[in-house]
Amino acid sequence: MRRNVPFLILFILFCGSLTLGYMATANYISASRATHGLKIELASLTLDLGEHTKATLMFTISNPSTLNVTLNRFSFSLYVNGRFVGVYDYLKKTDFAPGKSTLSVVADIHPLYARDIYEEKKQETLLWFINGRAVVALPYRDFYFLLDVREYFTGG
Amino acid sequence: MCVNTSRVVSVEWKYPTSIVFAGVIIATFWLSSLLEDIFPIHTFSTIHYLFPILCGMILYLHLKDITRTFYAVGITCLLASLLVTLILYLPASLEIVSEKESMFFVAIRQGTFMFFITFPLCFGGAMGASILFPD
Repeated sequence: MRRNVPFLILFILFCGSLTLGYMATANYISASRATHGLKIELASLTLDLGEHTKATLMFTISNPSTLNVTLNRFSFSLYVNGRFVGVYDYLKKTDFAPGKSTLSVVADIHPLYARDIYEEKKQETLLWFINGRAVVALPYRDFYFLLDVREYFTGG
Repeated sequence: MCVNTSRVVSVEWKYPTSIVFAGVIIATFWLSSLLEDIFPIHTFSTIHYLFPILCGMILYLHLKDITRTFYAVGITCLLASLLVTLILYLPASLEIVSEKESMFFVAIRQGTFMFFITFPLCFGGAMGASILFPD
């Protein structure tokens, strides 16, 4: 019996390690899917040329992992027909479940740029460009990653 | 003449099994240092150095022979390194990560590095056990 004690200790540690190892591998795969597969795409852009000109941007977030990811911050620069319109920050922490979700961001356009957009809209199609970066957190302690977003949209 | 082989068999099957067990234990706790926050439990930072020593000690206490323990420890560390390499390469092999080739080299490098760290620790643990428990 005494001879079997080291083997029994190894067996108990092995059982614990196997469980932890399996969970760690599953977490690693899920985290890899989230960090490498997460996409933020511009689905639509609606321009409202009212008293306060604003653009409503609808983003589609594809989360291929099995984890709930949190969008901590989303900053982007908006361009129309190659001209700068403004820098926008979405600072509200938003959770995204696995699968596809949508995010709506309202961008107020400065009257100085709005006048040009109004003129251009009458003559030609507007080509929008977004260049931004999102800070995404995974449900693990201190696990953040940056996601570059570069999207084009025609119309509005 | 009748020879009772039951004891010989019951002891022998445990040697490769204990090597596999120790390999899995070392690999798991090495992963805890690599994956950090992704690892399911929060472990202290030096745990991946302590477990090879512990496994080396247990292997010596089980095998009771330093020469056999040396080879057993070698195989254990090789198995553990192989396991860690495979786990690290898993996202690339499942085509989750696009950088397949660079992930392969990262995994190989980490596995090799791990072997050269864990083998001396593991055998050191076995040597320590042989001094502490000579019989």
